[in-house]
Amino acid sequence: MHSMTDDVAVWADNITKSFGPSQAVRGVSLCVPRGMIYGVLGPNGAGKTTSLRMLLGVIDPDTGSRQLLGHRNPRAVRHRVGYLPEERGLYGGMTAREAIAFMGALRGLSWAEGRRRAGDMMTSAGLGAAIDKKIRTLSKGMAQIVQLLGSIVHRPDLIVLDEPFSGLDPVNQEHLESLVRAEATRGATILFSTHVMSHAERLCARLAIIAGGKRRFEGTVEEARAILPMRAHYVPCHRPEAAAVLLPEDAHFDGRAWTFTVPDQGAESLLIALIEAGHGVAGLSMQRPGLHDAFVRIVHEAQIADAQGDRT
Amino acid sequence: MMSFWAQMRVIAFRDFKAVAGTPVFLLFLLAPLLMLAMGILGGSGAQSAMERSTKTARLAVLTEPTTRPYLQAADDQLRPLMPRDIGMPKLVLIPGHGAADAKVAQALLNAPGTRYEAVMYGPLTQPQILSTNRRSATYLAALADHAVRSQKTGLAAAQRVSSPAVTITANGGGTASARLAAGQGAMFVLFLLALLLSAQTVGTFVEEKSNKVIEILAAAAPLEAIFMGKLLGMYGVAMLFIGFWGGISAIAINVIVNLPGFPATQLDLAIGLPSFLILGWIYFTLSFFLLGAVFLGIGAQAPSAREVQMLSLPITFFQVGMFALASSAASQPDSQLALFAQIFPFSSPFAMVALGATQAAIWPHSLAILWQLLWVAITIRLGAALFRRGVLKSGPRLFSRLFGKAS
Repeated sequence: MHSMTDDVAVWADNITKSFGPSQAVRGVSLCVPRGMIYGVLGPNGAGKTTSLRMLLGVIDPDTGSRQLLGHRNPRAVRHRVGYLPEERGLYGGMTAREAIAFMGALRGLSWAEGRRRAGDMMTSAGLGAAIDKKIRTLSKGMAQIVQLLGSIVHRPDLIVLDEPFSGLDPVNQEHLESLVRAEATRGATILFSTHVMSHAERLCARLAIIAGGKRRFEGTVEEARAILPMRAHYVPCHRPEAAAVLLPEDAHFDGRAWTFTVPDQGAESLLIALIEAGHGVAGLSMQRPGLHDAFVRIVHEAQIADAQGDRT
Repeated sequence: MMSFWAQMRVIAFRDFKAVAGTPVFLLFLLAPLLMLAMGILGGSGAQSAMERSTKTARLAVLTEPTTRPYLQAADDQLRPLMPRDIGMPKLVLIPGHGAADAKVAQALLNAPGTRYEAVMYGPLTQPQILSTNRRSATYLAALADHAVRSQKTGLAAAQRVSSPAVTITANGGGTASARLAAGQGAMFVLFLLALLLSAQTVGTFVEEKSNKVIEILAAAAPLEAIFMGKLLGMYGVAMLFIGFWGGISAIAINVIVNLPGFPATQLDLAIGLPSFLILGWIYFTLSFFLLGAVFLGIGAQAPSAREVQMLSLPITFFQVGMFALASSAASQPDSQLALFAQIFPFSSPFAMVALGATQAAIWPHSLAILWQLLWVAITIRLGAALFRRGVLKSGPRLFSRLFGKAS
């Protein structure tokens, strides 16, 4: 666990939360450096939202401690935080401009400045035509963008987005990614949760994977992918089926080529053996599995570990 | 850091605009017109029914010719003493039939057509009265007594033994009973306004809970600021309502008291009219915030609009209970009950406004206002703590949150 310094935007040490008999979060620790885009990944019901709500001070943890922008009481820095909750909420009777200005006013921005910025932001987002339309007349995607703009209109130091991409079409997802990058460029720290790996792979400098209410991984995307060994795709020149005796046990033949896990000591000695055995190399590629595979593996192992823990 | 008050104002402003800026608010504002119209219709209907009943009803006396003038004179003197709204039936004097009077009296009572409420017969010193109600019987008995007294003193039937010189004048209204009545009237107005207006707060969290805005509010502002902001927003709506109807009422009263023939009256309250009006406004504000905070706190716990509707009934009973307590206390100003009603936070504004009409001392009001303010703070704190615990499922230690720092 990192120690708390001024360079850390969000810090949590073994926070837990139960709702009645159900333990939603069983010990999550996080350290999000300032200025970073940080992802919290996890399957449905993993405890991501509860963890974010505890970090923000919406609810208190049962045990453990947390700090936000250097404060032990996260509520003390509410005005420096922007938050897009998982369950989107806007007043249907407000116009988009008023909704954005209202959310800014709640965080200390004047109404007039909020309205002015709302106009600029909506125009930049390509929603200038909807600026004075009532929220209830907007599409779900447009309303979601409006809410996101409302959560960043006061230019917060920390932006927390809970499943920001859910419910958005690909165009709006792309637009949201641009917004997130722009805010990071401005200097804001972005902490967002998702269970869609592609966004995390494209955006996150670091990430944490939560499953079963516990943090199971913390590191960069590359570090997560490195959990799984590389996979080789090998096409022999001669007698392809006979190469099986030299290949690892998990090797799979599709009639033309073999796919297998690269051994821990590397592929070099294996290739030499294949060439010496006369199979030759018509084609060879090696690739690291994606974040998706790493995520599935980590979550699967977590489920097995939890099941074993329950049995004992 | 943004202040508690600034966040409260933002929420209040939003709520005020959301309520007062909609066409539905016009219905809310003009709702008393419906009440007035129904009241006028119902009142005039009841009055005309009573008048019809009085017009057709009769009191009869079977009497000898010698006693007729005395009875008529007694009726002329006693009838003006009866309150107008009682509507005593007209007196009919019928020649007696001696031994058959009892049968005639019974026949008159049972006769179709003219409705006799009571019939008196026999000698006036020992009259027999058949009556359908005690009031008419008592009146006929008084007539007989009055007539016999006149006869026995040897006076002529309509002869008066006293000739008073009467001057009608205003007494300033400053009597204890007038002040008591003014206090009770003020208390009723306060109760009615509190009943109508503070109950509006019970459903104000439904919108935020249904459209999920509550999560944004809870992340951005202290719950106490949210509660206070919502109360303040609805208080703004209430003041708009009172301002509108208060203005109309002031104009109407001004017109009525300046009508020719309107008796000169002066409302002489113990602490003076201007101070009383200011106190009334302060106590309305405090009762609004006190009751509103309770309703808001309870309503915030309700998961849906249906539950909020169901909560309205116990809430109304609670309000009526507070009014009954304050009302009983106001009628016995120096009793233990009055002291209890003045101290009990939720009846205190009602009881204290009544006290303002009857007692000149200001210090009890200063004390009461501070006391009620304290309870406004406690109630809001409690409501926020319950909301955090019951809805947000957070904050394990209720009492430490209650008496700890605002979050």
